[in-house]
Amino acid sequence: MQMFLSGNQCISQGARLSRVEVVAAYPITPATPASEELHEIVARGELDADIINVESEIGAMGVCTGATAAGCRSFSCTCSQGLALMREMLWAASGMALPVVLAIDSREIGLPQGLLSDHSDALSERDASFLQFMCEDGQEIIDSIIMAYKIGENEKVLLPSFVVSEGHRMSHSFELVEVPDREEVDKFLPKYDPKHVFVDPAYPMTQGTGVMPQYPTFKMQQYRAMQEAKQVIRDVCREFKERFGRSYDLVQAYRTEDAEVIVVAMGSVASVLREKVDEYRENGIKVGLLKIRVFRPFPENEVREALSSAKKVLVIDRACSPGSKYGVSCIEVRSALQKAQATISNIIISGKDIGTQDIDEIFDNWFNREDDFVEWYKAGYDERVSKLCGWDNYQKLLSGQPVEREMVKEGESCLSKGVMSCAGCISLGVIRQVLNVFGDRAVVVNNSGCLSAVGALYPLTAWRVSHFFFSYSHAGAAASGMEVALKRKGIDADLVLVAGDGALFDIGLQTFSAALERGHRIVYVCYDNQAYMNTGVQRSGSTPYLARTKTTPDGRTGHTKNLEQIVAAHGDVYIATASPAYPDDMRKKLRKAKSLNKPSFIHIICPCPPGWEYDPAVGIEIARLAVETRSFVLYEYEDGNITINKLPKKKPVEEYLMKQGRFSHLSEAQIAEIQEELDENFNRLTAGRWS
Amino acid sequence: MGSQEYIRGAGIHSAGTIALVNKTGTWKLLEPVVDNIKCIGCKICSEYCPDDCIERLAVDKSAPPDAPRIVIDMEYCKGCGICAHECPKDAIIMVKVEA
Ligand SMILES: Cc1ncc(C[n+]2csc(CCOP(=O)(O)OP(=O)(O)O)c2C)c(N)n1
Ligand code: SF4
Ligand code: SF4
Ligand code: SF4
Repeated sequence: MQMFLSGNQCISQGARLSRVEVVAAYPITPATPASEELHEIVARGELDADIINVESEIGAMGVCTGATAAGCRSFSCTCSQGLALMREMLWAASGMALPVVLAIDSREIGLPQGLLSDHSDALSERDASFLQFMCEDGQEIIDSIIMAYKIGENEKVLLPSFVVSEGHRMSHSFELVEVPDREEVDKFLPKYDPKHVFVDPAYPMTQGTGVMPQYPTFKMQQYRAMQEAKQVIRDVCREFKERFGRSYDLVQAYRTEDAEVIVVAMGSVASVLREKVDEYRENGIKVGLLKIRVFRPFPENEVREALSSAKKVLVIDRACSPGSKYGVSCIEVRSALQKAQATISNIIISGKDIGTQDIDEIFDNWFNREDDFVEWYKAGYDERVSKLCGWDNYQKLLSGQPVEREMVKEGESCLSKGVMSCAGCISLGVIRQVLNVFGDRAVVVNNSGCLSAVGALYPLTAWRVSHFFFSYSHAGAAASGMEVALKRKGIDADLVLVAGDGALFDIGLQTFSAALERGHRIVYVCYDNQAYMNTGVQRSGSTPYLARTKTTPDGRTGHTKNLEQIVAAHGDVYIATASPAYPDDMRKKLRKAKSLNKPSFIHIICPCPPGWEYDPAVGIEIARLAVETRSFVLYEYEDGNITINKLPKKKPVEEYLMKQGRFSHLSEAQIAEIQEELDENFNRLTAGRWS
Repeated sequence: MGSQEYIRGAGIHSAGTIALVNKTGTWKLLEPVVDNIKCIGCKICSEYCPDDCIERLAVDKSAPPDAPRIVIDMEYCKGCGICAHECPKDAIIMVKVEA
């Protein structure tokens, strides 16, 4: 159907036609109307999607990543500062091989702030392993979004995409476009049905682990997927043309065959240039145009071929790379055209250690070859590693054979033995207890911290239930996306977010807060060891008053953040505090959280032998003393009421502090001050309030 | 490219495999030794062991008084001493691991 649409409307139409299932976008000029329109499209019943209102682009990209990891097709649109804020999660999405599509209304990144359409926002992510489709007009936006899903979801590619258009110039100008038929698009673009990353409690997988020697191999996989994508793009464009009649490719050459001078450009400027080419041709000047439609993967062969006979080439760039002499696409064009006398070969070593012997090997290979080659140095596959990572299970999934997986049985731990935490790590014991309550229904979302570091190291994992690691600050968002995706798919599971105090009190508070506010059914478990332990004991928002850490060598000043009070401010949430010294009480609270159809926050105190400086044997005793001295009061909060539910006979706080090296510097006056504070805190809680 | 590769996205489609390789029992400097006569099989130690190393055994009423009521998995026990410290019967002592 022919319609008169703005660029932003083309974005929302592209998403509608692709039947995206989860959308999360945060307003930013000029991309805002695209997501607003999607809200309307969903409200009118023209698209069955969950749109998640997020608190930032951190949340948007986190939600899309979590939802795609759980097997739903996801979409966002942004630009400029918004894309910059997403950055960490962009790398997570491509690294986890998640084909999210982002529409980018390119706009300058401040400062100074701009409202034109510099391509730097998208192009500065050129190394993030996103396919990048550079659109010239509204028609190309719609068509590219549809094709981007098909290309990115191809088994050989499995990469996310940017569909890039230009802010204001395209986003806010109207054109006549052909909106494809929904039924035709359905035939072209099948449902997303991933086999590599998804959530199914009956097929547990561990995602997002650390990898050590295999890192270059995974980088090489991304690199190769990008190379493979070129052929997939050609094939998809051909199929698109057969069905819809419009033809696309990696590049589009216009009157270049006999051209003496060729101008190279991306995006909307190509339209102007095409007209100009005709005009100049009429005046006898043999000029041609090469439009680069796909910036990633960069089509160097096509560019070289198209420009081979030209005497002069001019590249028009919308983004520069300060410090390099040339604009961003010019660097690529020059590299494609290099005609130096020398061959310029390339060895990619990624993070590998390189010694003199390696150099000998590299030189040997190089000296014996005459060609221009690109090789990954010793990035390959180790059969033993393939076996351990479950390659055989994956192959069975791909070929549709049944896979027998050994599941966690009643009474068995969801984490195997052999976890690499310190001896006497209470956090580990706590997480075992937590997961025992959920059993094989648990889907665990986790972020940076000791627990993610000690539980798995590629290709080994202790996890026996699905475990997804996302980056530090995004866990609340990723868990939200996952919860929505699980609901959509009708998967019956309990989503448990397990995070340290750093993650929930500090860096991840934003996405945690947004997730609470939206009311997702997630059990948030904070294993609180009261500092950043994984990075070697630095202060967090939860570090107690006067406790020593590496970043508070004289003791923490200022007061501990009251996270319960913050969580309670979000409305209908079940809150409970727990101590591993009282496992029955802890289990009772977890079972309650599990039974509720609303968010729960379970805050568990977790002594840490190296961080709190004590003999590992006394960890449980310390967790008990924390409660007995009322340093950590065990209570529940629901429907506006605080109920203290475990109140052993009171002991002086000194008994608790004395056991821990982190308090060894305290004077008697300071101990008295702490005692006074704890008494006040306890009196407040008894009176049913926090302040 | 061989026939065996790694799954795209660096995921692991298997479970609990870390135990095959990480025998954390080799870390310990002290090891728990159980006095079967004192042990009443209350399972408190097992509840608190962070590494899931203590299993309670089903013991018949007619079993002799020194029949073991728990078994500790020395292959993985890190020797933290929590079990010994928490046992209400002082039935576990920590002894130096012979070099
Ligand atoms: C954006 C970002 N900044 C910094 C880090 C480094 N980092 C990894 S874990 C960690 C501390 C984790 O502390 P916490 O959440 O309390 O968990 P714990 O290690 O104590 O279990 C930090 C700072 C990171 N992973 N990501
Ligand atoms: S540093 Fe503390 S929290 Fe981290 S593994 Fe060791 S004991 Fe556990
Ligand atoms: S806590 Fe002591 S008495 Fe109880 S089972 Fe363990 S060793 Fe036996
Ligand atoms: S010493 Fe520690 S790891 Fe070993 S059995 Fe006792 S509690 Fe478990």
